[in-house]
Amino acid sequence: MKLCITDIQRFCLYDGPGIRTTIFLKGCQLRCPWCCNPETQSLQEQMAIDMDNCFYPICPSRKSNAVCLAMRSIGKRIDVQECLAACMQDRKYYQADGGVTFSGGEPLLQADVLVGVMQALKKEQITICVETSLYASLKQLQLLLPYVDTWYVDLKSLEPACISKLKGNLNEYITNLNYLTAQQKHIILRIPLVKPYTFTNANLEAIKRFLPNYQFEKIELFSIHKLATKKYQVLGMTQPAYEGVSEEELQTFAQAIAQKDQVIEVMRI
Amino acid sequence: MNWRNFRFIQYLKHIKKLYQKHQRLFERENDLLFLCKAFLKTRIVMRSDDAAKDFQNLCQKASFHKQGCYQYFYYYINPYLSLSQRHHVFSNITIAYEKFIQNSFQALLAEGENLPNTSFKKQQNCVLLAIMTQIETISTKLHAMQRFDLQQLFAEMVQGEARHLQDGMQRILFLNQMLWQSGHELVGLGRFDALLFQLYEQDLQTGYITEEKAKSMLLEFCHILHQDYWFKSSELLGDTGQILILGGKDLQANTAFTKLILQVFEKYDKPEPKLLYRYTQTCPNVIKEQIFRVLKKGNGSPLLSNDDVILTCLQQAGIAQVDALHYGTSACWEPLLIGKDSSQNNTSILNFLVPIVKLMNDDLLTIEEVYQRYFSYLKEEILRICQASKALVYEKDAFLSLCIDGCWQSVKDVAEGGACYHNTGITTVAMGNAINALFNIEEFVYKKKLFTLAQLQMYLEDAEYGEQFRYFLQQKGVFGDDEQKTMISRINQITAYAAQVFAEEKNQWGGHFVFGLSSPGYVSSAATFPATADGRAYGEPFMTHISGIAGRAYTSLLNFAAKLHYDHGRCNGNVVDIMMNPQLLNNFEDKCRTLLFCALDQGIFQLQMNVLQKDVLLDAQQHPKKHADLIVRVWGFSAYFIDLPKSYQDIVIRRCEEYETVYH
Repeated sequence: MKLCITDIQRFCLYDGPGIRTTIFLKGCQLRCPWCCNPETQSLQEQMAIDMDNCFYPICPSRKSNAVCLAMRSIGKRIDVQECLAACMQDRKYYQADGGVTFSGGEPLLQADVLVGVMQALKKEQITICVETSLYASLKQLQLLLPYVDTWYVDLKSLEPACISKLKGNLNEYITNLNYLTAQQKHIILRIPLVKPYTFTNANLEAIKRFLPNYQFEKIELFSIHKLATKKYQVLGMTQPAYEGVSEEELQTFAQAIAQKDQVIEVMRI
Repeated sequence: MNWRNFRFIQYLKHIKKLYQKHQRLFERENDLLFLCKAFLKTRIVMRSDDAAKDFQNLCQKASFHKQGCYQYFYYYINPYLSLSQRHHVFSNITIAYEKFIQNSFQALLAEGENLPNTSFKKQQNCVLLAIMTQIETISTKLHAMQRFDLQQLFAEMVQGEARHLQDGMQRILFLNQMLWQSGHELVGLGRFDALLFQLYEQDLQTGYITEEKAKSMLLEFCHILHQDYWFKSSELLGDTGQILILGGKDLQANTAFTKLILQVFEKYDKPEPKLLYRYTQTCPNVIKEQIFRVLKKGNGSPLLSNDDVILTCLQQAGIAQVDALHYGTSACWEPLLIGKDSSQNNTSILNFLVPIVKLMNDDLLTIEEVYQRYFSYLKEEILRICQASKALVYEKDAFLSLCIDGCWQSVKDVAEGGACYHNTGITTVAMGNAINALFNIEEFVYKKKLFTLAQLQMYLEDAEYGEQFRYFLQQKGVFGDDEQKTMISRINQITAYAAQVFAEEKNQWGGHFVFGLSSPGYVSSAATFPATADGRAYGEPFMTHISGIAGRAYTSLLNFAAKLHYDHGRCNGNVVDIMMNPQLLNNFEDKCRTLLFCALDQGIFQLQMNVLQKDVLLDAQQHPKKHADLIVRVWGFSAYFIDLPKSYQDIVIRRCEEYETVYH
């Protein structure tokens, strides 16, 4: 059994407490138009072609059996031991609060393999964070729940029509969120605001009505910027159109959802 | 007939040197006016075969100047007065300041009487008398000016040991001034807290001084050293070697005086003097926090030097433990045994890319043959450098022989190898480029067999596709990646081989050759160097010391540096050079502090850090007046950004941009 990952990033500062290593897992049910990691959507390894690396006069692919320098594989499969070894590289820098963050893609989709890595990390007393959309089965969530110290949960949209467009099932999300919050785990809710998908009057109103039912460690609001143009290009994908929101719009919404004892932070990414 | 013997030639040479130095200042006075002043004021003392007499003549001409009177200290250097130069003058040095803090000149004169009756004894006697006469002259003038407080400080130098912090600091300044005046460059300031902490604590206890007054004295001390930095600078403005060394394993790193100095530097905003902090794992958190605050300020200081690694390496290089404990630095990062060492630690530059450029035209069938040929060319290069270095002749130096331990014991001038230690330090460039080039050669020429060595060199220089090809190769860089175990092992093999070749050579004084992976030459040595297989273009600067390529995580680079071997003669400065964005430091202060000190605990040799923002640097290039106080760390020193040549500014900007891409 192996994990399919796209990248292992070290010295990550934005993905939880302390110094962290973030593992980007491949595979996600959703197809968010603003996705900044399109290479993690498919569960399979993919080939990408980067024409910046194509040198016609010395193109090796013109020779028989040679590898094209412009082609590269996106994603690789690693077993639990390899993943653990990568996580342990910066063990000394983690100290007490740092550790490993699993991101993606949707990490829950590989919960059956991931659980082995998490068990090993816990033996080393390394803290674990997971960034998730919660669009996965409850069983997968339950499998990882005992090992995760902090959950970063996305709240993309509460409009069924929008979620259908993203290929998700809103009921699955709400079930998982209810289950997770009932376990009183550390949960940080992240709300990406992007036009014309999540930043619509209907969705903002729905979120306003939804939030008072929960208590989170923190709610983070942020706008989405077009950061992944090159990634879409090399994968041969078309980047969908969308638009970020202004600082003022973020602040206005932050005030609109303000509640007593609920920390809300506007992030600048 | 030697042209150097003509006073007029020496006179013109000195004016030219002064003019060139002065010209580098951003806001300088009118060049013509400065030249006129230099022509009128320049005085040359011609060297003879009697170094002590020359020094005495110099002292007689080094007049007192009221401009040198400050609130707490007297310090004056006349830039227009100089000794003539026939040969090399010892530079990159720090003298045994403690000798003059713990002794009076009278006592030293009496001690000198015990030296065997040789010309060396006469010379030392002559130098001591010259200094005492100089002190008397200054003393008399201070009396006339009714500066009795300063006069007292000078009078006590002759009669007794330093009794107060102010005495100690004045003695350091006085000797420092004499060293600059007598033509030495890159003059260090020694283990500052170790030298003075007892005097400070004693003054505090007796109520002779308050913490505030000590701070005020320290500030004045720093401002004095900052003045005339244009005159003190060597190759670039700011390259002065004026380093205050703090901490150290034997000092327990937590004296009240150390803390006070760090407090002053948390607010100090000039590039001179610089700090070096000798770190050990037992360093208290309160000091770590102070160091971090000073670093965060962005003056590129202190350089962090890892005692836990360096002391072991120095001992392995044959240095007695008691001496190793007193190491400091030559001018940037090269360890120097303060007050006992005349080692010239920056005499030549070894370029690790030279063997690769040579072998690109050879017909080599396997990567093993490539490495064999690499080692063979490397040996040739090392032997060439050793020969050139051995041929350097140094001026006899009676004053320096007084100031460095070993000369009195051996009854020899420092230029004859009189000091306790007299090694030769070689700095090196392009190890990172060489390793990346060797990796690419192995990968594309021998594993994938995409082209031959000769074709690779041809494609690198291809007018149409060369740039794109080089960019492709650059992205493959492995230097600084802790997961590249094979290449880390290759580096250790190369440095071990170099150490072995160096170990078979002895310098002109019978000392050793040592080297390290840091050098000031990563720009100048690269200026006419061809494009190389790491993806570097013709003339493009080499990688800066131990640093990574764009996109490499700090932890990867730092773990990588901790896996390199620095023992057996490889200890002549191995600094990891990183950049951080000020916003990153502010937003994640705890995480960044953990990173730095954890890296030292992992076993890196030294660390220096710039705190910069690309936009600010670009604006400073466009509007220098707006950013006159912007300080950056260059190769091993801090300097005003606007004082740097554009080539160096561009490197700082490029590297800053690379780091911002990853971490912003």
